Amino acid sequence: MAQRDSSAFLGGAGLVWRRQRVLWWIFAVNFILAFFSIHGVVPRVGSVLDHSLAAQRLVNGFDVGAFSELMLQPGISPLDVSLAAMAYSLVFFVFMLFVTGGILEVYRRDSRVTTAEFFESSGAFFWRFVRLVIFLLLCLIPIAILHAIANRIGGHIEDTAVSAMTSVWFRIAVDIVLLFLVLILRLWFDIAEVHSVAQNEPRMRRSLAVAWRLTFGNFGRLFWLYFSIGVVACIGFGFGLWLWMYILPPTAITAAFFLGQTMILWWLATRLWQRSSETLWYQRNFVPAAPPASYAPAMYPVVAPQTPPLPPPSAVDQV
Amino acid sequence: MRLSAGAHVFGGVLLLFCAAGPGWTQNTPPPLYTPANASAPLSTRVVNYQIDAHLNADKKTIDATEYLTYKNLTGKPQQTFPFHLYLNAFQPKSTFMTEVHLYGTRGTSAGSGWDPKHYGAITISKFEVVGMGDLTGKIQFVQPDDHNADDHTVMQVTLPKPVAPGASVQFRMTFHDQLPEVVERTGYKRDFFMVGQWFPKVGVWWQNAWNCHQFHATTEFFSDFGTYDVRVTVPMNEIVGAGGDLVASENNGDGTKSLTFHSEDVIDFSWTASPHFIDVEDSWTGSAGTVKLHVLMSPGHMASAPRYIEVLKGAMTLFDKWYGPYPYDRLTVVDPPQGAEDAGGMEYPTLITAGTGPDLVTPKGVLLPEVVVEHEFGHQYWYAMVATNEFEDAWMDEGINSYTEAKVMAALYGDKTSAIRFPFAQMSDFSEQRLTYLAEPDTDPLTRFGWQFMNDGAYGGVTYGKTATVLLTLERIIGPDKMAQAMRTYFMRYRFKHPTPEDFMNTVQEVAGQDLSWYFEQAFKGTQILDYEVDSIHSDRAHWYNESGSAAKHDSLKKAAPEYRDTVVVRRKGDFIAPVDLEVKFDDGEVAREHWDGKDRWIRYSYTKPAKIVSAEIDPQHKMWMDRNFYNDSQTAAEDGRATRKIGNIFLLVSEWFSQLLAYLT
Repeated sequence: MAQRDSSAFLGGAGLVWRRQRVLWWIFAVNFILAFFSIHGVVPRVGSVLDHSLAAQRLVNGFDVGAFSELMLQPGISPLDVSLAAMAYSLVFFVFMLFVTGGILEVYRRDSRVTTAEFFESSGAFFWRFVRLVIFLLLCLIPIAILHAIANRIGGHIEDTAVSAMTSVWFRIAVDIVLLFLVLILRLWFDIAEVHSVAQNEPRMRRSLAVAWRLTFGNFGRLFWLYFSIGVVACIGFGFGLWLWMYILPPTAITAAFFLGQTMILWWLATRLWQRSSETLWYQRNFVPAAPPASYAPAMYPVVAPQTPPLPPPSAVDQV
Repeated sequence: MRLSAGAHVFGGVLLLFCAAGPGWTQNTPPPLYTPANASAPLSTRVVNYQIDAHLNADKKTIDATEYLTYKNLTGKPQQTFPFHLYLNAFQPKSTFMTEVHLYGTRGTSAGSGWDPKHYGAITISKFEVVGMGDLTGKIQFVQPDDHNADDHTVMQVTLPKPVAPGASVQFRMTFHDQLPEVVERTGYKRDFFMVGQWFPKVGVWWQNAWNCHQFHATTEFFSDFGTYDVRVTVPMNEIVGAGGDLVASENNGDGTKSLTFHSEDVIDFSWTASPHFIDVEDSWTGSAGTVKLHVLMSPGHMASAPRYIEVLKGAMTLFDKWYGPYPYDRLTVVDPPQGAEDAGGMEYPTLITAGTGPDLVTPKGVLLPEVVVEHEFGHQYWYAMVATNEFEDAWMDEGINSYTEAKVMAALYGDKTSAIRFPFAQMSDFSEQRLTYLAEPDTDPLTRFGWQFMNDGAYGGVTYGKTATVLLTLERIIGPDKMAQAMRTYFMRYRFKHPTPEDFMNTVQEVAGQDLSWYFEQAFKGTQILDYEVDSIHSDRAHWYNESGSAAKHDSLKKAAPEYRDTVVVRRKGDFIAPVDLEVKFDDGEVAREHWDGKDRWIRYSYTKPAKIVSAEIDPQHKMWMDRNFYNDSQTAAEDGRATRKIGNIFLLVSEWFSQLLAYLT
């Protein structure tokens, strides 16, 4: 089992590598949408900075005061930047919701799929995954309530505890617990999506029920698989950030661009790594119950390649 | 003037207490304390407070008796005396709370509801005047600022007979404090107490009238110099810090102890108590002698203690050198515990409150703990010694202090890194002050009364940031040496006094040796915006008409270097008129320098030379920190998109990452 898990961990990475077209396409869409989100504001920034000697405070080093003053210029406020970013983020969100079915199908088959097949899969599962997102949001409500209750308790502890630091540690502990709850929730829904695609399951509540059994029946191994990739993601991203902040010279703008995009690519790749590892783990560990008569098979069942029969041994071989 | 019989009796009683030493009983005040090495008073001691206070740590109350001896130096007979009762501000119908709800304040945003745990009150159960009897029934609450009859932060009492000029009168009050849970500087949190503005305090006779304003959301305090003898009785486990020297300590045998403090030539007395303080002791020696430092740290914040001490000693050294001596022999720094942050960032004579978060969240690259401690220490000069009227002239303590804060931080931590100092990002304290100014550059003049600003944001932006920026600009106009000399002269001349804005401006003008009224009228008393812009730069061929036609064919013209008609247009976009310099650089290396009086709305400079303009910059020496927009102060002929690409990189990265975080829901 452990060997299977470690092979799912490494196999998932290999799967992302082999099917890297998926990664590059998503990265490209992410980049293009983000580019559009800033394309309104950057020319306004340019109109202020490109012919001003005061811009040197941003080139040679990064003067936070100069940056803050830039944000006070008309049309370049943090609100302008944030609204545009949020709008395009929503578009990316819908895009990802749409293509998740196609991505999981690519990983399930581990073979090249045509563009038509990819989008057909994506379309087939889109509304199912919309329902899943709604379920996810509903599941987040109790966590939000827990957070609010914990905040109140933290406030009460702050008012009454003998030690001033008790409330601080309490809040940190609560935040860690809630973070784990959110991660577990995400894992459960990830498995539900994998199951939906693998079994072409049209009913999301059934998917969730199967995923619940799978996830919590194999919680330790599955959560470790998911969490360890997340840790790798954070380490890599953090390393990139450290390089940006402490190693890159402030005037190395092109290098900073490539480093930043590498960090984004890394973040995306590790998320896809989680999806591919989950798919592999599912394929190796889940034995579906016998389907009912009306059950529809997977959209694109995996067919083992047919090998021709071996020829009889020849007179030469029989020496 | 002949003393009354009552005054003789009082004097005898007083002598008796002095002779008897520290032994005393309840309802008698702590005796007047005379230090062994007493020197001449530093101030005109108008008041002497003797207070005996008992803290009930469970009920969060203080019961106290106060003897206030007031010396009538007004030059006139005085019969009516106003007193501040600041703690009554923490009630829902008070002027203070109403303004907080409407406009917000330093720790509370506008629209906040009333929380009963923030209830505070000071109740006077007995008011007597020695020689004139019980006048409790004569107490009247007055509201000189807004006539809000529900506001009880000022009371006045009319005596049966006036106090003659030069004579003294002694008031004896018994009062009860209900401390609020920490709000706006004062109160308790769990078993921590920050006790400020807690006793009845007489108003100030200033500019030929009583000056005793109500407590407002955006005002602080104003009081006379004098001496304090304060005895506080607290539970045995409390560690007490106070703005005074500890002169006696007694174990009362009933689970409490009594500590007596003495302070001279100060305008206030505050104290703090907590069983959890960790007292980090140190000392500093300046031109006036050695100062004992007590840093009362809260658990979980110990990593900030060395930061506090480092900046404190640095600031004390610079203030001593730049402005004048620190004359007291002690300074206490209080680090409020978790949840009591509202008590932080405040100043009292010889006691300041700092403020920091838990050790894990205060990175060394963000100099916030240092800025707070430096700022509050600076108030020892600009508030505690130069005791300006914080109600009416808030800029004179907060603004001048913000200016000196930025100077000190720059000297200690670098010109460009005195607020944020990471390898990847930097910011100076002056930049921070300027940003505060830019948030509210033109709503109110500096000289507006503290409670009359448009809102809390305007008050903060103008009194702190704008004043600091105005003073930095003034420094650049008259020169750093003259400004330093002016500041030192102002401090040495007006310490232990109550100067006015005119006193400050006249001192600066006197030292600078030039007429600065044009600057004071606009920067201090007006709301004009200073904004100069390089509107355009052009380099056109001087003989543009020779581009075509027969004249172009002449060899002599072909061989001559092309001449350009270079023009620079400078505009005054704001209403603030100030003379500015202009520096124009050409591609042959030449530099032209112009000086414009800035009076007209625009001016054009033209040059005919065989060179093109490379750049034009207003105020190349960066004197005009008040200029609203540094980016339009210059123009270059060539485009340099590096800064734009750098900012674009950051926006792009943030947008991509945020999108992916949101997609985590899919």
